[in-house]
Amino acid sequence: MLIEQARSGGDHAREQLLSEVYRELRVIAASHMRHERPNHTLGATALVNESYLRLFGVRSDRPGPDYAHRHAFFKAASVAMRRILIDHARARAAQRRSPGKDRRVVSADLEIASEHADPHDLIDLDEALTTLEGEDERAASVVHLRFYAGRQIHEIAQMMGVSERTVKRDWEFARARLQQLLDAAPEDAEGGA
Amino acid sequence: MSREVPPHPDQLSIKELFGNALEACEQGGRRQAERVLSGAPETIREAVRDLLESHRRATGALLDDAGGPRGSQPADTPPVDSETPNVAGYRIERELGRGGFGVVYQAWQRSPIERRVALKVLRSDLTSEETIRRFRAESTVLARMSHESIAGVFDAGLTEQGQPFVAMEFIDGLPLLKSCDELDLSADQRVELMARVCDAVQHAHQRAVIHRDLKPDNVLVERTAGGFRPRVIDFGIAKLLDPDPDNEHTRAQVLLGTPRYMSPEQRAGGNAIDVRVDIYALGAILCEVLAGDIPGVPGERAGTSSPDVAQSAPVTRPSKIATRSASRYRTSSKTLRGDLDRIILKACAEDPDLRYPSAQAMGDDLRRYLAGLPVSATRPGMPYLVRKFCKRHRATVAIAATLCVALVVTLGVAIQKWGEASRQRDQARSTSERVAFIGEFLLEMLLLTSDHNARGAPPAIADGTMQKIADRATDGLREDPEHMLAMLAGIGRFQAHAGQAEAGAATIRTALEFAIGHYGLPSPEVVQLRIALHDILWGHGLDGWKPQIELADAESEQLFASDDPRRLRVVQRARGSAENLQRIVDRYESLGSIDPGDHYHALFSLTMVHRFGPTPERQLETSKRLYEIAIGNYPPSHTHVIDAMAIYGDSLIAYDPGPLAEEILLEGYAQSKRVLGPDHFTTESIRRGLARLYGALGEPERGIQYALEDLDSVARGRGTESIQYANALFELGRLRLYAEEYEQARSVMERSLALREQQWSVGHPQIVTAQAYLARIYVELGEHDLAQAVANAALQYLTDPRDARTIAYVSRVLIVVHEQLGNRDRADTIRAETRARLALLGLDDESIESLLLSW
Repeated sequence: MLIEQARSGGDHAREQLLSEVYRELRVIAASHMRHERPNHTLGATALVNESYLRLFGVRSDRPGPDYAHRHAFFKAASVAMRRILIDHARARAAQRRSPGKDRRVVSADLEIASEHADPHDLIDLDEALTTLEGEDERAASVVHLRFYAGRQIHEIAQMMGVSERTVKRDWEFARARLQQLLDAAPEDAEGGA
Repeated sequence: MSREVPPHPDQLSIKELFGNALEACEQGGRRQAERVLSGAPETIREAVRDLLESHRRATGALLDDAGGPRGSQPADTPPVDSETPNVAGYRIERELGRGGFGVVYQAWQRSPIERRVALKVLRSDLTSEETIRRFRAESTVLARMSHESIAGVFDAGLTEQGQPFVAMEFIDGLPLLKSCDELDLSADQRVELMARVCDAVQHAHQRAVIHRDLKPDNVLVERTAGGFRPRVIDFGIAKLLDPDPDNEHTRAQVLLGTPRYMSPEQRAGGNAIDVRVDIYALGAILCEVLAGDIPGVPGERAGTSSPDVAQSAPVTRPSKIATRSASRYRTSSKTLRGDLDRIILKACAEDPDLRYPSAQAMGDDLRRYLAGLPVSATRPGMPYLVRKFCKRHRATVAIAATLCVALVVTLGVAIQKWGEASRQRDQARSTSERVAFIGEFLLEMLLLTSDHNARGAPPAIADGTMQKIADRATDGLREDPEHMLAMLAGIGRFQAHAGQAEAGAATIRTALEFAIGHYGLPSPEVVQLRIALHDILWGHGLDGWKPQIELADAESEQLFASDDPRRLRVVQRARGSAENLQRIVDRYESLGSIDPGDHYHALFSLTMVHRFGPTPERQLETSKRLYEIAIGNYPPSHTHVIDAMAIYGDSLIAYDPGPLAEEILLEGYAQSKRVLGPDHFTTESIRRGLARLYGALGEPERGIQYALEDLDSVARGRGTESIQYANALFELGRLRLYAEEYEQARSVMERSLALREQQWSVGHPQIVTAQAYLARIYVELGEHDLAQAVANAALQYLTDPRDARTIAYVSRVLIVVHEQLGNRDRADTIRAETRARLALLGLDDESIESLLLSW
């Protein structure tokens, strides 16, 4: 129902769907965390797939809601996942600045993304992606669906109603442009902190 | 952050050109790409070249995707083996091994997380559409497993060449047999290791994942700070990568080379494979780990009907294998003889029905073996048990005898439980604590006994039997006061549990009177008994609890320091203010090791205090903690867990209705129905909660199912005149209203209101709420007079700020009635009056408007 509304417009409904999916993702992540050892990490794709299962009662690889619904969901999921990852990376970055604190405090309910990856990389990537969104929305969408929601090229093509070749070209362009933006970013923004 | 590379003004044509150049590059290399660019203006060419350069750098780093154009890979990338698959998001580092199904690689996952993984790729000639379809379905199940002794499955999908792959946690450890050898593990350590493997297998089985290929090489042993830990790899992989599990031919060809650890039924290739194939393999591995070889392959023995383990199991006993095994890491035959022999033979029984029913049961037996307790893998006669028991507990044989007289059936259970309780008892510091442990033991054992006899039904031991045990214990008070007091406390609590609360209270009173004479006042023993008596009286709605807890309060104040857990046990019952309870909970949280039962009860009380107090929203947080404490300390079927789920679920319905609430309530409902029975009041309350939740989630039809079930059950258990029946009708009526079935809603809600009016006095919140909904139903049916009458009746009694929502609701009924009747002025007047009324209760304008706008 929510998906229906989100599709047919209404920023409010879209925002609501987003917050629904966001909450769902966090709940799933948290429920995984409750039973796991502290350093366990959880794949973003797995999280998105599971939240899909919970919201629709079918697996994301099974026939279920039509493609428009799937698109709305994965779009929302990718945005939500991006938020979660960036929150997490920021928290981790903040933690590094104050080494006295227990690492687990800030991310007690969530431990996605990489413990190896530098959180600043994720933050920089996020900023670059924001820039790209302003320049080429479609290419940025492809990155969203592919990177944050773990969708395959052919799926994205189906969802966006364009050819696979277009998606591939968007994807490669996005990567090149993001790399360009990242290379141009100041080396270490946290240096002075 | 400022970016130094602004987008080029001709961004679109640059993008187009970049795409063309990249594709050209893919087909014909750099020069082909240059040709594509040749027609463009120099500035654009530069911009595209710049992008191509960035793209080259991105390869292998940024959001890397092995599906990207091959031609754009940097020159220094080593040429890829034509066989090495490309997997999006992974960089393959080296080959780890090959099997019948395909190849295992060590790989580096790059997105969304960077980490080392083991990547299993199915041989391309085995890939079919059917495999891929099944593979997708299966892999989501695997990804959901998580256990410290199971190597996680992170990801699964198709390589760019279309072969299924699975990415698994990369484990840095040695295979089981090698580890046992190199770490020079003792027999007990090996058994301990296997018990933990059983835990892992149990975890998977509970998620319907069968390993199908358990063998020592699939158990890696990892060194940890505290010692070592087994990690089971390849869970479910056999099925996942099996191109056609129903085809015998491919199974034999693909699965593995040796049937060494395979159960007879798996080896025979039947389709009826269940968790017991893993049990068999666990037994075979255990045998190999201890004796140096697997149990003998059973011969063609015709159907053995005897339940005796030894007769239907492989002929050769592991202890015998050990004597002839040449292996270096075998255990002495003497260690194996007896319990370990029986455990292995039971696990490896030819008939699956005679094996352990679960990996957990096998793990439990291994732990019992390690603790020197009798194992279940046998149906030993009295001599065996008595010998075993007497060896351990010479001092307590007398009590066991008392128990045995009453509970012949479960002698083995009694003795085993006794062993656990007495170990705890030995660790306890004071007499009173020891007494408490014995009481706990007895209670637990009695509950277990009744569970065994009645298969999950409420305890059903004849009153006479319990009274006989109680009398026997009373007779023995003079000779052995400590133990007999504990027994009486346990019996009393059991009686209360079994629905004989008054008899239970009487039993404890007997003990209490004796204890006062024996120990004097004040004494810790007396305080404990007073608490036990209080809990029964209070918990079952009987009189007389107050003096007991007041006396316990006064006595314990003299006996214990203010933060002594024994003191806190009393305070949490005697002075249950929110502040006190919060202080006690905080203290328990920081103590770390206290009786979880007290922690549970303190949180329980705190939740209740919040729930009915001025800050009901705080119950969400305390009930969450209650739930955590319950699941952390008790098995899922324990009443504490069920109650906690009911309470937490209820808080979630009020403050966070959603999937979590649904999950908790459904789980709680299933357990409660099974353990407590469909008509138990906890089951009832969870069922009603589910009905309410679905109402709140906008799925009244699903809610109605539960509400109807509820109505039936309440009618059976409490009759159609009871207040519970009124409540059940109320929920049903509300859901019918949401489902827009107004006629039905009306008759149901009218009956609910009538019943409530019989039970409560006028103005009771339960009556008012029913009136509010009924008024709304009347409006929907166009019964304007009735709606007005009921709404006005309700409004008279709504004066508390907590009633704001109801006031708004009822007022809205009146407004709608007058609008429908065309009395616009009257409607406006009521609106104004309501605003004033709500403002008087301290609500701000915004919340008033929102309350007035929605039902």
